[in-house]
Amino acid sequence: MAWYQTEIFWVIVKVAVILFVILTGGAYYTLAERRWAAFFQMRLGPNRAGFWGLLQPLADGIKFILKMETFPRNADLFLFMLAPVISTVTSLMLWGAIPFTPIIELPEAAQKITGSKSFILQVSNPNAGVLYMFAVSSLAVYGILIAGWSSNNKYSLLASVRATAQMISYELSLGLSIIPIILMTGSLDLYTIIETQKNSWFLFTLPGFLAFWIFLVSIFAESNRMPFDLAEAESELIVGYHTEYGGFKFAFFMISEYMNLITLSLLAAILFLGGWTLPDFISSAISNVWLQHAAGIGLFLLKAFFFVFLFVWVRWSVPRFRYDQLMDIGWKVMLPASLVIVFIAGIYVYLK
Amino acid sequence: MREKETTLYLGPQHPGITGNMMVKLKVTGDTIVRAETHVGYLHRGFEKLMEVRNWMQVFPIVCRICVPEPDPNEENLARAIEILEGREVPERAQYIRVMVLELARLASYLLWFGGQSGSAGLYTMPQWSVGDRDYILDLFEELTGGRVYHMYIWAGGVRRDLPEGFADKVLRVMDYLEKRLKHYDNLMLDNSIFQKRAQGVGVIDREKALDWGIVGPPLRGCGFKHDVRIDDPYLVYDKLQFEVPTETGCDVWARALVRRREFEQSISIIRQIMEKMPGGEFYNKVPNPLHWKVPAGDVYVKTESARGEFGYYVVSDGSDKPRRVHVRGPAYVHGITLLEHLLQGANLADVSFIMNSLGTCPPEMER
Repeated sequence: MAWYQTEIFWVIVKVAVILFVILTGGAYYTLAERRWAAFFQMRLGPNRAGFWGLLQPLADGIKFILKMETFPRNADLFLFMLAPVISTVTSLMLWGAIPFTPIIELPEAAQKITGSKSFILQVSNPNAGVLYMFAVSSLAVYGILIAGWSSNNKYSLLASVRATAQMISYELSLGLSIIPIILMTGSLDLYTIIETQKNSWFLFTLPGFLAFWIFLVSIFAESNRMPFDLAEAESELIVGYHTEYGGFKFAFFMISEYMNLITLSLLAAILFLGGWTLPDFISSAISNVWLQHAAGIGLFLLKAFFFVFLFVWVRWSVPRFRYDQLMDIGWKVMLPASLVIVFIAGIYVYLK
Repeated sequence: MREKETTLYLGPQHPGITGNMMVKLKVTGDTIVRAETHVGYLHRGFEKLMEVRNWMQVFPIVCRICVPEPDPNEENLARAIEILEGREVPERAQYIRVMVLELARLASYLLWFGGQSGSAGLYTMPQWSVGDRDYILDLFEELTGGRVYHMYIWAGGVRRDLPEGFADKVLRVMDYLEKRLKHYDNLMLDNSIFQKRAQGVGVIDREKALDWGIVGPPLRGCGFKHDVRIDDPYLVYDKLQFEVPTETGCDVWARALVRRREFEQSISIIRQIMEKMPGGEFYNKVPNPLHWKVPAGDVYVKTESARGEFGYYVVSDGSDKPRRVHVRGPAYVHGITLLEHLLQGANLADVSFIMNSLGTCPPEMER
């Protein structure tokens, strides 16, 4: 067996491809956000660097790298440097479990090169994929908490305490909102969850439909986006936990935020909108298997893109909640509602 | 157990405040226990500067007192001099002055729309409303040559007549703004999150509102129908039809509604002016500014600005310079004493929200 036929080599290739996609995706999401924001606000937005401003992320990146590194006085330097790393690494790790493609049967020629019969663009497939996603995404709290604590700035500290409490509170309803899906699928495996939705998305089942709204609100809160972006409330806390960060350290926070948004969009498309599955009437209409795969993956990305756009759309159309209102919604509305939905889902599955 | 207090210094540079001032907050968690305002970061000594300048040279100074809305200052000083001298103002000039004052009110309210929703995190609104304000600034530019500081209203009239076709342009901008108001409502005032943020926040004690000397939209938001334009009409306001909207909520929401309805009233006032404006002189000649002596005496004049009653106390000793000009702006009361009262027990998130709803203007607090 040649070196290129080993599994580890192909895992490294997949990691490289996914890292490239996620980092460019995060960078270009910043551009998209700025262009779309400009569209909502009747401005032009960044359109000078390259066609349609397409080189803007590159220019931003160069600027971030060349900026002078500054550190606040009396800051805990080790933790101060560690925080953006934690944020970025956790949001990168999330992409390891996402199945971007179905299992593709490879033709003879390709089998000789890869040394395996099938291919799937998924770095690893933990058999509790959903749990892995939520476990890793809750680790992101540490990045924010440590950033606020080590900055030696009261505003940062206040913002990080807020963000931590908010993320922990909304993780409850987020976790409960996917239980109906797990009940209906009987599996925690992301691949199985997608496959189950082949002919009917979970969005179109009763418990799935109810849980979807809880899930939607919770991912907005979980990613600290408007209307729940209290951790970055400009008029109260300057820019929140990354007030003291500049240059590339800030870029780390920023890109991890946008990568998280893309991950959550993909997750929403996987859990509720059926991922890359095609309903039978479409897949029977397309004769070529490769075209079927292409259509499925294209649809998957389109569904995720809708959520990517939704994040921006909502951000520029609503004001933010006050902190006590946010906690009220989290504990008095979202949590009881998601418990009720779990109950409904139980009855639904039992009756089916 | 007694919760530990922390001191937060909000300002002098902070994205949430309306200018360079500082609010020292004692907070426990998110709740403010005590607030202390510190001003003095913008003190430019205008009142003193006026005492060493000729009467004509005072006009370029007064318009700098409040940046977003300079015209009430000019109107006050001009009217004070007119009363001291007994100088007549041609009717056309009076109409033009009312038009300028109302346009300034609209521009100021557009800034407020932006500030109020921007402080709640709705950043699309400032972009829209400040963008629309530019149409009014364009009008000012054509009329006076200046976009922000106009130096247009002078003792005895105004500096220039209306340019050709100006009335049509004003009416077109009014039509546009009226159309835009619907979009503002959709984005800001009809938004349930905004309503949730504004209702019951920053409640002024209605019993004490008059004692504290509150004026303008905050007072009208408490149900008092107080407006200098009605109570003590100046220029041609008694010939125009308009309402003074009041609300009874005393909170940020009531103030927002008052401003929103006044916006419509101002548009209607400007339309009436454009209809009724007579021809004739726009300017009653003043003597050579270098030898311009105003008779001795003292006078208090007041104008309704977008933030409330704006008063000037002008003393002349008969020389070519004012003896004393005292500026009594609404921001001093609203931004220092009232703000300190309202912030007690408020949430940290509401500091800049309340500040914007009161029309706090640091440059005016310190003259």
